Amino acid sequence: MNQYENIAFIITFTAYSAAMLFYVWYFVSKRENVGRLASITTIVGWMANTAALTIRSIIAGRLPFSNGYEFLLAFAWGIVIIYLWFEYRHRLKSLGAFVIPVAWILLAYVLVAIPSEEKAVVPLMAALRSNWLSVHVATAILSYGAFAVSFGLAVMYLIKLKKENSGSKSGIMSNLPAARLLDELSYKSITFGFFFLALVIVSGAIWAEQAWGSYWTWDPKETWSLITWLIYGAYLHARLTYGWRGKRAAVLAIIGFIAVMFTFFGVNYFLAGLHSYA
Amino acid sequence: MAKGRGWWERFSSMKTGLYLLVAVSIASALGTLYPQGQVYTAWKRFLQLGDVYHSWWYITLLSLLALNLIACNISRIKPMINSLFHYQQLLDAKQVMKFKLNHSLHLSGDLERIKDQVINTLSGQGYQIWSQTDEDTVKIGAQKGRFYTLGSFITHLSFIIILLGALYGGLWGYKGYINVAVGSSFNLKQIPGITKNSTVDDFKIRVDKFWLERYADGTPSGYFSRLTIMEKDKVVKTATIAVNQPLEYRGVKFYQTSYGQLAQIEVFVPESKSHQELLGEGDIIRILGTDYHLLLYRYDPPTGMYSQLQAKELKIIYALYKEDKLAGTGKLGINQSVPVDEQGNSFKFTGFTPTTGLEVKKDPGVPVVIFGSLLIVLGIGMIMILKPHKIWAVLEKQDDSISISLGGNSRRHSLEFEEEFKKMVKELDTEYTAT
Repeated sequence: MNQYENIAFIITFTAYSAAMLFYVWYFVSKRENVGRLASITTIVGWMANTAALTIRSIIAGRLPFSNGYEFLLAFAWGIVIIYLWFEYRHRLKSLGAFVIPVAWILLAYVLVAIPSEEKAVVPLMAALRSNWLSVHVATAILSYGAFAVSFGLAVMYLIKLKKENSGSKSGIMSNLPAARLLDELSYKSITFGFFFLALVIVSGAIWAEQAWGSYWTWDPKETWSLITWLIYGAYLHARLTYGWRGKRAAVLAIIGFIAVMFTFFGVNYFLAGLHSYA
Repeated sequence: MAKGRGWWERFSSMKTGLYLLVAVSIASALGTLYPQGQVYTAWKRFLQLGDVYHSWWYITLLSLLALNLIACNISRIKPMINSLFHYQQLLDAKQVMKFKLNHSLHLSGDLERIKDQVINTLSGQGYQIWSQTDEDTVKIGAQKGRFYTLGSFITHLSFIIILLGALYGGLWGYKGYINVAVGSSFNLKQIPGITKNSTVDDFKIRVDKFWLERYADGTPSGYFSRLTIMEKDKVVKTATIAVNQPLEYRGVKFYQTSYGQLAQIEVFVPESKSHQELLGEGDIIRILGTDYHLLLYRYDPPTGMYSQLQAKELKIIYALYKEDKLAGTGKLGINQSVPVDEQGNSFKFTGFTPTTGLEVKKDPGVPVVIFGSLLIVLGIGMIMILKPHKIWAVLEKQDDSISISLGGNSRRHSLEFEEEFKKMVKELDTEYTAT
């Protein structure tokens, strides 16, 4: 790994760690100054994250989308930019306490579990040399990022609901927005993620037809991305036709995100397949 | 589920569709847990766990889901057409106030002016508006996202299109894999795995060349084969294929999949010309005119896919059988020969010929599937962007004031719609106070 890239990575990780603590502190204390600090560190971390990805792109002479390390870095980037947009758009600072940890865990995983030789810039293997790579991975970043945000919102909703039911109006909870808003925002980000996951699958299929000779081979990665998509599809249908809102919708959103994580990590570790790059 | 409904209504309901979605998800997951392509026994064999995605029960589930989708879509046609063409409904005040989201207010002023205000407010939020004015009542209808229902319809329809495309390709397509020695040619009938080869695709393919390109650090950057297509011994097309760059000819596609080498064995038979055979690992040939069979056990050292560069240093390990008894075994370097019997039969290992591994397939369903996939993206995009909000307003002249009844609904984003509705009510109120 390049020295500057390494510095950028360390700044990113440190900033996200600090941001996570600030968000939790803000969530508990409701102090506006802490909230502001949390947002600023997140933005600093995101800029460093962008820098790390940019440096890697320049060194590699291509977009940083070709192995597990590069994708994790880009995945964290996607989660944070979508989160920041939600925070800005809906004035939802406390959401950071639930979303930033997801990005943090991904980078902590890079630190702990990815050996440095797997972080090296390596030339693209022949199967990955295609224009479809950028489309496929860029849409995956947006989709996974949106699902991570919907996961944070769903967890927040469940906490809020528990407190609302127990009647406590004071303390931490008065800092959470209305449960209904959380529920609806979670739904919105799932709609967004669902659209982009469709693009991920479609671009992957068109590409696979070119590279592997078949648009669908029931490769574990393919299959699990389809399962994830079907789970969110079930969420959308249950919501529209059965009015599954609130608690049941939140639980389904959490299951959906577990499927996202399994598609990304689990498939590589437990199931063998063609899609072995990331 | 209402009582007295027939099984068909029940089957074609969204609820059944949801159950089927869950069932298909679980079934798909199952196929990733049991390695596919393996042979299982007993109940696992009955459930075809080695080939879940083509098993009787998976196909049944998919067919049921497809049927359910078709039924759901048919029942949606009428509401969709209504939403596109016959949407300009108007309601009276009583109906308007029945919506969960409603509001009534009284303003004093001229009916025409207040009508203009209501219309301005609605169109300011991006609504499309229609209205009807009687003597002392005005009915207004407004909506956004008129094509939302169409988006939903397109999304569901495209599933059926994709499934039909897959079925079409499955029935009329074929797929196979062949290892071809560079310099030789083949026709489609020679490809193992292609059983339903139609006689229409009757042409020859010659492999002119195979090569490999590398990055500066030595790792391969690409694999290439130059292919020539011949019809009735006339060259009709020459092209270079690579990974991600297949060649398509008359609907048949050729993919660069792998490469390797075959050992050249020259067989000498007394009082006749010697001939050359090409053998891969595990191949067996009969030495002509004798009871002997030659098995090429493997190359030595064992080669992975990517060690062609050391081909010159490669040896072969062979075994010779007389009928079913082992008659000899050994390791041969290039140009070493072995006598087979006393009659003068012998063979010689003369070197390696490079081969290219080609996947050959025809799938007439691909354009249909791609069309369906793009349609899905379009449909979901429409659903994501469009907001199916509807609002009705009734203005009635009463004595010296105008009563306004407002009500509406939305199929999604209820909170967002609520806020928009309240905002407009507020705007109407303050606008009036301001003038």
